[in-house]
Amino acid sequence: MNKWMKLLAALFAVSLVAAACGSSTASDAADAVTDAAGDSDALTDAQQALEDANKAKEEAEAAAQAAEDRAAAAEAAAADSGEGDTATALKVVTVSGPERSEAEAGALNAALEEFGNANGITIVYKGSANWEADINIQLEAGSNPDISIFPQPGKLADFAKAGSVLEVPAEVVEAITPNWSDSALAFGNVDGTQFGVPNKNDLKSLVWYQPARFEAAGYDIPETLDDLWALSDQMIADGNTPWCIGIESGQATGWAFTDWVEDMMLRTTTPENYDAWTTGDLDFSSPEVTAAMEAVLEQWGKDGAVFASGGTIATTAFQANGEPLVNGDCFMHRQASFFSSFFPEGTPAADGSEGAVDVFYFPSNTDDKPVLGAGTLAGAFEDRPEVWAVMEYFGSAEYANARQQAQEALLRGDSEVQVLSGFNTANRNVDTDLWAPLERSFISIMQNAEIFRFDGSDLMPADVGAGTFWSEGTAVVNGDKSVADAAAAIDESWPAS
Amino acid sequence: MLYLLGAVTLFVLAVLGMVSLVRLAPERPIKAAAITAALIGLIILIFVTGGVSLGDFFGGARMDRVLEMLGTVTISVAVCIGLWVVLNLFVSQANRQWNIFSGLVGAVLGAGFFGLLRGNRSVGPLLSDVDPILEGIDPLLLDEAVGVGFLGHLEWPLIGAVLFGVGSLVIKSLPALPARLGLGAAVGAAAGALVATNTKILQRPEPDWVAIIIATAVVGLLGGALGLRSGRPQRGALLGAGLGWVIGGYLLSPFAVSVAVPYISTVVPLVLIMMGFAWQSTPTPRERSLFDSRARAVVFLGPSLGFLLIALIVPAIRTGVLSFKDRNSAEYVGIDNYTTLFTASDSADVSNWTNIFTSQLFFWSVGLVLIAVIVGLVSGIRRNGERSFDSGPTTTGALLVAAFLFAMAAMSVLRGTFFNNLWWVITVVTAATVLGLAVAVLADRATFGQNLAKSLIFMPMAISFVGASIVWRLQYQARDIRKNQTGVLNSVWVGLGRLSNSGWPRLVIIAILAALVCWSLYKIATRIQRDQPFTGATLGLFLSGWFLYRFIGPRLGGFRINAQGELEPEVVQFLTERPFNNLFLMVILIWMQTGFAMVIFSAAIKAVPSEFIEAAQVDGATESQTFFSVTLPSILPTVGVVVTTMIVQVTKVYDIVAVAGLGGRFGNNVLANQMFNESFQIGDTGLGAAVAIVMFLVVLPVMVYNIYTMQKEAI
Repeated sequence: MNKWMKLLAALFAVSLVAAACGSSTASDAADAVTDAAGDSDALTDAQQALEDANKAKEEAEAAAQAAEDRAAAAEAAAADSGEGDTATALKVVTVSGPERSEAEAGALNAALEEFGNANGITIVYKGSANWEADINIQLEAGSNPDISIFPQPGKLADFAKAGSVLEVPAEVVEAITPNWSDSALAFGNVDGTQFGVPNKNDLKSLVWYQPARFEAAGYDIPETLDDLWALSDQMIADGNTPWCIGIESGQATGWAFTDWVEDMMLRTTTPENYDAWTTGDLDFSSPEVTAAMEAVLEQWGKDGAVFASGGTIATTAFQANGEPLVNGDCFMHRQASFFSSFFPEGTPAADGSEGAVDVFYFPSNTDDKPVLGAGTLAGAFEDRPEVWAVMEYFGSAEYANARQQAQEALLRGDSEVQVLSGFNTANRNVDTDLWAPLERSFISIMQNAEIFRFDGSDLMPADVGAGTFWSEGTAVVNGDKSVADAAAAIDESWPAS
Repeated sequence: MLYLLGAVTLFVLAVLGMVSLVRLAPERPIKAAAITAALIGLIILIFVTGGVSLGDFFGGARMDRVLEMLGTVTISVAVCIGLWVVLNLFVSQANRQWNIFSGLVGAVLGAGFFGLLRGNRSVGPLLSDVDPILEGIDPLLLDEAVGVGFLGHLEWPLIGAVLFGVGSLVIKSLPALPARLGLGAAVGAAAGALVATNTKILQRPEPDWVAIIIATAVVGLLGGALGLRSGRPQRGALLGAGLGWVIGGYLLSPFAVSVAVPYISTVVPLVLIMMGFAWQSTPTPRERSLFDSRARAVVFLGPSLGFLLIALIVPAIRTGVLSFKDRNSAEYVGIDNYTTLFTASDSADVSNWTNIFTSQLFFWSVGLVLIAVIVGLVSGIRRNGERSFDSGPTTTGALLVAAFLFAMAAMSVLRGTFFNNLWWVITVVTAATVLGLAVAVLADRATFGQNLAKSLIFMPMAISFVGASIVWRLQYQARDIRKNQTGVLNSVWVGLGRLSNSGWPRLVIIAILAALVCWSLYKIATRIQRDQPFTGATLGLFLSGWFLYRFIGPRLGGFRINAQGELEPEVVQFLTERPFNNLFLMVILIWMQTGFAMVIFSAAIKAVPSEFIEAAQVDGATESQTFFSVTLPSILPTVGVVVTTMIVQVTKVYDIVAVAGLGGRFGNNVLANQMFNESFQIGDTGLGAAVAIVMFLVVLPVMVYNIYTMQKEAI
């Protein structure tokens, strides 16, 4: 028994050496074995073990030498063939972002793969459900991806100010500028410096309607805001209900009202005031903001102006506005581009058929056609040529086209009919034929917008943008509070710093 | 239609099944089982004959999820059982072969230790020749980028298992102490070197010698002192010193990028720990059997304690810590979150408190107090023949109802999250307890359908809070007045409005009501003649009289006359009209909790010795006297338990407000909903945690009392 154990000890010593292979502990281990095998008859075993250990060490050294040689050879080869050759070096660019559905992440990966294959870069995109929390941790731990896609500009600006997101080089900005309007690019602009590249966009300044019913009733699509209100009054006078409105959304009740107010801010005051408002420099109690809120409430409050399927606007779910619009309970519904999925199943979109729904631009009295929207932005954390190549690609029309093709194909499956992909962009040079008619009009509205502003409540601190603006807005709509009281309450809740 | 039929049948069958099980289960298990089987058969039969094939019903994605769920559950259960068996076998080894046991423990701990290091990406892969740091690859993406493969995940745990497993086995087999210590040091050194050379650059600490020495000395001495208690000071000191070195070298030392390979911080503590482990020789049989019995306790209790630790204690402590930090959990802000919570205008608003005394409810409660006083005086004079106050059930009842109404009046005027929560507690606990008690007492007397009634009342308990909220939300729902009302309550209300403004149907109703009033009056008159009580008739007179008045006079129901002079429906927004939308939400919880109270009270009442009741009856006590003087005092401890359990539950109410209360936006917010909102909607984890802690502190005394009572009950 004892002898067997000693043999095992010796064997174990060998395995210790193997485990610590490459490190300098081989001799330590062997010394320890000498201690362990204190009895004289185990000494020979231990000596054997020592020899084995030395042999292993020699082998390891030889292997290391060989590896060094290989690396030197590779370096020499790279130097010989010059910088242009990408074959010898492994170029990896990692991208993370909040998009992770099969269609979105799949299309994103497909577009990136296409570009990567053409340029010899391995690009890996990974979507994360907790992107916002993850990116903080990753940055802190130094395990951040090379590029991340930001769902909103606020976070990008925070990181840019902290120095972790890098400034986009001038040549990249130059390359992408022709594709975007100044205000679309401005989402990624922090204090005059470009930090982000636009990736995808959504828009909110849309009015959904049924062209066939407009035609039958003899209504024209309004060209200005005044025309829109005149049309609304005309409908009331004709005994029709112009608007379907509902702002209930569970814990997020009120956001639909804040969208209206934001759109109205862009139409009743200057874009500069809008920006000042979103950053907290312009109070909610200021005449500009209260006027915008009053303007919304004035239109909503007109007798017979609103069909609210839940009895009141505050209790009508925002999703519940699709069916009444199709049923003819109202003529118009102002809602963002995503609303296409909330119409009853089988409702055709913008195909000219009888029951089809379509959109027109929520008009403005000015010519700059302000658009309220949203967009994701790519920001880079690492300064490497291949990273900037991918960044430039994100701002290109090729990316938008490739992604649209992939995303549409993924969603369409085996069907023959073109479907809505949900991927929209304000990029001015995309091939719009790739999109379905409805989305084509989204894109053309965004392309024509001189003023493109991000959803204000997303830019405000969460206490306001996802808190009091919603709750106080709901109280105002429900008649529980006056506009002045609500505005004062929102101002009070704005975080101090 | 088919589905509806099926659903109704299923419901009826489920009720029948519950009734039969309640009736039969304890005494006749076989019969109950047979009935259950028959019921299941019937349900299947309905599906088959109804044309709904089981394949359709269970088919597709739903079936996949069911199977997936079943698979997960089966695997989890199997793993748990397996672990339990293995652990027991494991401990058995301790008694029989200590060496092998040590080896196994070493292997498991080693695999866990190395697996943890690799899992946290503290050390790099061994097999891959790509260095993520040099290549600039996110380590989290490394597997995808370079393809580490399956073995890549196992290499570290396997090496750890072999290294520590075989090491422990051999160490424990060596009789001489120097040999054991030497081999222990060797294993520690080898492991330390392996870890040190593979530690990623960012995880390498810069040794802070002062911290290391102090931590090693302090924890080492502590370990030695602890070891002294079990007579193993050297071992304790070594283990403690190793642990202290780790604390000093990793936790107290700064992390600087690209410092030297951390041999000092890694090798030394591992050598110390392994030497400490190697110090002890094989324990004596007595020690082994002692260890065996203690280890079994750990095997049995360990899993549940572990779950409690991970799922309850650690989160609770962390929440407490978070409540003192700012919104991003970055910096400590003292009690700022608590002051914000208590000073916010929507937490507690008492500005309108004078309105309490002008509300209808207040006048009702004053009226009831007057009635109580009059009844007390009158019956006192009647009973005792002199001026005294009789505090019988009638007076007490009236006073209690008056107090309840006054509370309602106060709660409807005092606004804010805290008062809403208080309102919930007062209303739901009172109503559910009283209703539960009433049903338990009354159903006890029923000769027919007792179990059916009880099953129906108990059934809401089986529905999830979210499900119940959706059901009730549909009942409360209002629709645009141009459409037909789909919510039950509003369609009845609007229907009443139509009816009371209609032509001859209204006259028919008036005629029926008038007949009812006359009949009630006749009943009362004859009862008075015979000197009998006439409570029911009075109630009937009151109700039908009130309806008659509304139908003849101001009309009843949801309607209004619009600007054009036309009659149009007027709906009630049950969920948004402040402040009583709160009450309509509470109804949901009352509906759910009454069954719970009823079941417990029912059992308690059945346990009251029938001798007591009979004795009271023999003494000539009336029904109500028996109840208030005999039954109620006997079940008082149970009432206490039910009330406290419900207080705890109601204080935590969240789902109903979130789902049916439209997110608490309409003056109906409660603490739990605010906690969710602050933490997950607004993203202020500090304030959210503070709300959670406040809730916890409010519930804590009730909880302690509850546990105390229940334990006393059990003894």
